[in-house]
Amino acid sequence: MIFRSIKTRLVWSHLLAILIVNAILGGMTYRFMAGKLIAAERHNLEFIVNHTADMLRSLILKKGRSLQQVAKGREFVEYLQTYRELALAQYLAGFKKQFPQISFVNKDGGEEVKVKDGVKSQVLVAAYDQQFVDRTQASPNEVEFVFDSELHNQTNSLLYLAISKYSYFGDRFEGTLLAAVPHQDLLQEIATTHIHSEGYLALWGDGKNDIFVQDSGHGHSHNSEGIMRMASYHKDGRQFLKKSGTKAHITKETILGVESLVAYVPLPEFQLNLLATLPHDKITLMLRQLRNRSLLVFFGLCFVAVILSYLLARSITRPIRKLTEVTREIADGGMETQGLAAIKHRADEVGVLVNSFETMINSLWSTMVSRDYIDSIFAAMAESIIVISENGGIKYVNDSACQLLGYSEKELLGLSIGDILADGLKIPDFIGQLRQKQEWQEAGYRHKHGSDVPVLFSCSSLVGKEGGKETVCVASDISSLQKAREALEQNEYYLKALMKSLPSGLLVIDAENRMIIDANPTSCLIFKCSREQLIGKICFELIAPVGEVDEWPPIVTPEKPIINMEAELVVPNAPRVPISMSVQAIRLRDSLIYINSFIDISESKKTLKALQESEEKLRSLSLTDELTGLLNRRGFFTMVEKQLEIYARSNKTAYILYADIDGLKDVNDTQGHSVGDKLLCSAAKALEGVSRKSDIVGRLGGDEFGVLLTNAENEEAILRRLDEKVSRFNSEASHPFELSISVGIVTCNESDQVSPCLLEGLLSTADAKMYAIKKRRKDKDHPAPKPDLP
Amino acid sequence: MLKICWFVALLFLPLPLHALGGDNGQVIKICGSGDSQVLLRNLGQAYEKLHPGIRVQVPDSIGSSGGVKATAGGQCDLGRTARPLKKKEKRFNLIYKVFARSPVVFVVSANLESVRNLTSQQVVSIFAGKIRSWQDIGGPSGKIYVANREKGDSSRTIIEKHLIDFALIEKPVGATIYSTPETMHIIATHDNTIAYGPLAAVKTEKGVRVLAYEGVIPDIEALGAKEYPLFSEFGLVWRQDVSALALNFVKFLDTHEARKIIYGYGAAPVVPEKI
Repeated sequence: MIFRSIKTRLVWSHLLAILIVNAILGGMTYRFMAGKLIAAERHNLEFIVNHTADMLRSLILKKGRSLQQVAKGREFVEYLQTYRELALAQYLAGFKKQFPQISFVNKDGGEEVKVKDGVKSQVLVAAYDQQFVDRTQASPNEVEFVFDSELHNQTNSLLYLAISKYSYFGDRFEGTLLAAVPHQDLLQEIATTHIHSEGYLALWGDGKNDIFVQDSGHGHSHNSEGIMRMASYHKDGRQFLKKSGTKAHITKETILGVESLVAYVPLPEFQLNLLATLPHDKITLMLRQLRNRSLLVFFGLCFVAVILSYLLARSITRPIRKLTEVTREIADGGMETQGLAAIKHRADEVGVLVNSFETMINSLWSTMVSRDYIDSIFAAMAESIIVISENGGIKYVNDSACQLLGYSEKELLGLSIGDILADGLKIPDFIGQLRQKQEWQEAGYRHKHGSDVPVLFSCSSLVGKEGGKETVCVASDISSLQKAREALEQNEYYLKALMKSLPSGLLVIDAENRMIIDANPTSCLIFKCSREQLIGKICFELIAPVGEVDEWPPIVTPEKPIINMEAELVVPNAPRVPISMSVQAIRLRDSLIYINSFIDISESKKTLKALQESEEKLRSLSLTDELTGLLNRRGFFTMVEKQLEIYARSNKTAYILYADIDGLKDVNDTQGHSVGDKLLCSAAKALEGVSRKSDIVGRLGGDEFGVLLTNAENEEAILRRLDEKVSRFNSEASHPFELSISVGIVTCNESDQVSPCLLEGLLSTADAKMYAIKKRRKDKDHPAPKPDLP
Repeated sequence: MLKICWFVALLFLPLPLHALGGDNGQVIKICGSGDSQVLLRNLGQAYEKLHPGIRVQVPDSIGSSGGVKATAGGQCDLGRTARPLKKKEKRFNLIYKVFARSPVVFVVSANLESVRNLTSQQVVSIFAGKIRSWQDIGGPSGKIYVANREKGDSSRTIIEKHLIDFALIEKPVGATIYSTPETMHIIATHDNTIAYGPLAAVKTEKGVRVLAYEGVIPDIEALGAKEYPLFSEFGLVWRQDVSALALNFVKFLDTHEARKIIYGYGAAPVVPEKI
């Protein structure tokens, strides 16, 4: 049945309807357009003939004005009789372009002069009757349009123009100028108009049988000048012409044996008729072309109609087909309805149907779980799923099960559950227990290659599609978990060994309450107690800080550990033990743990202290004079140079005193070096006595001393105080010697000097001064013997 | 206009030869101005009588300019002029001789007997169209028909030189006539007409009345006494290689018989200059 489908029925019904409408409308349109075409051609012909008639009127009137100019141009009627004829002919020949044939008719009607193509021609003695003469004479200076059969026979002109010539002198009528309008001029005028390719124009004078026919290029039987006899033009002559009015008439006539559409307009003022002819064949041809184009459009529309009908039918039936497909898919267990997305937004009845259908599917989804849905869940699970039948045959496996066991799905579906369980598991009991307990239990699968795969195993029972009892076995691969567990145990063992073997104490402390939760043997040794005694104690009650600290117990974070901090262990009934400890905070799960490692630094402390004392002594010995306790030369230079730098910045005045003990060599030589040493010590005390604590006193070597005085009044005050000290010493009777010190003092003030004060220079200057003073004193005590006078 | 004059002249040139086909060929052809046309024809007839066998041919007017050009071109033996040679005509190296002076007169048709004199003002008014009726100047009732001459005509030029207002008329009335004989013929054959021209061309014309101008009757005496201001000079021109026959005719003009004829046409013979 060809019309069984909706699509086919739609296509054919639309096509048929459009064909009928096309046929009716096409026929009507063709008739309408054909009528319009014929009307347009008629209108065109009317327009052409009217327009050309206007052009002819304009041309003839222009000719008339030219003839008026000829008549007014000169008083040629007054030519002397001796040369009148020749002069008149010459005058008229001057207008041969406008008027190839022109003649002067005297007042008696006789043709006096005729000029044809510029040449004097034979005249007619009595060419015109008195009526013609009277008519022209009655209208002075006005152009008359004349149509005369006799004239036409001679000139082949349809139209003549006549104007009376009056002599100026006495306003006397002298005759008539008569000029033929060349039919070439008229033909040229109408030749500018074209009527398609086969139409033509004809000019037809009243009362004549000859007409001028525009050459249409189809070889009409006219002569070379375009003249044709009326009889051959139309079988009834001019009977069909209606002469009423001056507007165009249109008729259908057989012209030159051809059925034609003829438009004509009378030109009564010129006694002419103008005809525009269009052979009917031309119109028939145009109608045929119109019919062919109409048919082309008709078939084109039919073709488009077929396409549109097909598209329309397809547009209507496609959603139905889609609905059918989706319905089938859902019936097969699928839940995919995306195929409806493209058509559910339609606003028509199909869209409503699709939306209703989709609503129905959604309702079904809310009450049912599709097979695809379960399969998708199973496929996405990391655990292996194996469904077995009551007799242990595998009925379903997911991808994880295939990967775990190394089989393909097809291979597994042919096996029993016993084939894939590890050895030692009694299948019925094992699975039965699990089904009852609904718990996870460690078990083992056997891989395709023979190795056992540890798994966490669980089973549950369900009713199969066919109503049979089935078991769902879910297993999770725990081989990596076991490996991690073993690694952890090993690490724990290593850690314990490490803690035992560590030479330093190690405490594991709960950071929250600072409680010791573990301790290694070394720490037990240091604390002199057992591990159990340590566990549970507050760590920082057993450890005390050394000196003052910002906070105690210290706050330790993973980012801010304590490194090598000195502290002391508080050991009951025993001295504190100095330790160096490092505390590192580590985060385990959610709790913070401190790892406190420490070492006993008692011995190293003692060693350090002894070392420091030794170093101090060595340092002291290197800067002091052992005999006097003053700075030795190195110490003096070191201290004084630093002090001078300070004074240089403060712009204060400093004094350098250079002292030399007088007579030390004598004391050593006479009383022994021990007395000499006492003398040196006495001198040192005397010098210390004149100086303040901020001053620096040093033994530069032998019996030479140097003093830096920074707050002295002046040199004299210093010398006076020194003299007082020495005098007081000498006044005491207990000394086996007399103290005498020679000194030289120099002043140092940076503001008064260009160059900085240098100790070497100052001492040298002071030494020079001291020597000068000592020399003056020697000279005074032991004057030189006066030379003998001659 | 010049073309027409040339055509008329050439049209008539062969006629006398053809008509006189029987003579011995002793022809003196004198062509040019219409002013002296009638006078020279009479002088020619007198010469022919004195010299039988010689024909003196005086064709209709082709104008002074036409006469000069025809003579220079060899178509005529002698050229007749009614004015002195123009500057551009002197390049032809023609010999020019004035043989008579004729008053230029205003003429009217014979029916205007009561009109005898015209003042210069009346002349200007008539030719300018301000006076349109003869009654306005004491004549009979009737429209004034003016036969004017073309610009450049010798008589018109003489009047324009004498009467400035005449020269300044922008649109002269009447019909323009292109030759003196034609003009005189119109006056003679149409009533109430007025024209002007040389007295020598008018003298023998019937039906033409000569008017006094400013009260002076134009005649030889008034001309000799210089009382009448308007006159033209009739001259002849010929080439250097002119025939002796033609020169004899020129000499004839100084003879007593010729002077008598010149006087008879109201013109005054001129004392001959050295030829």
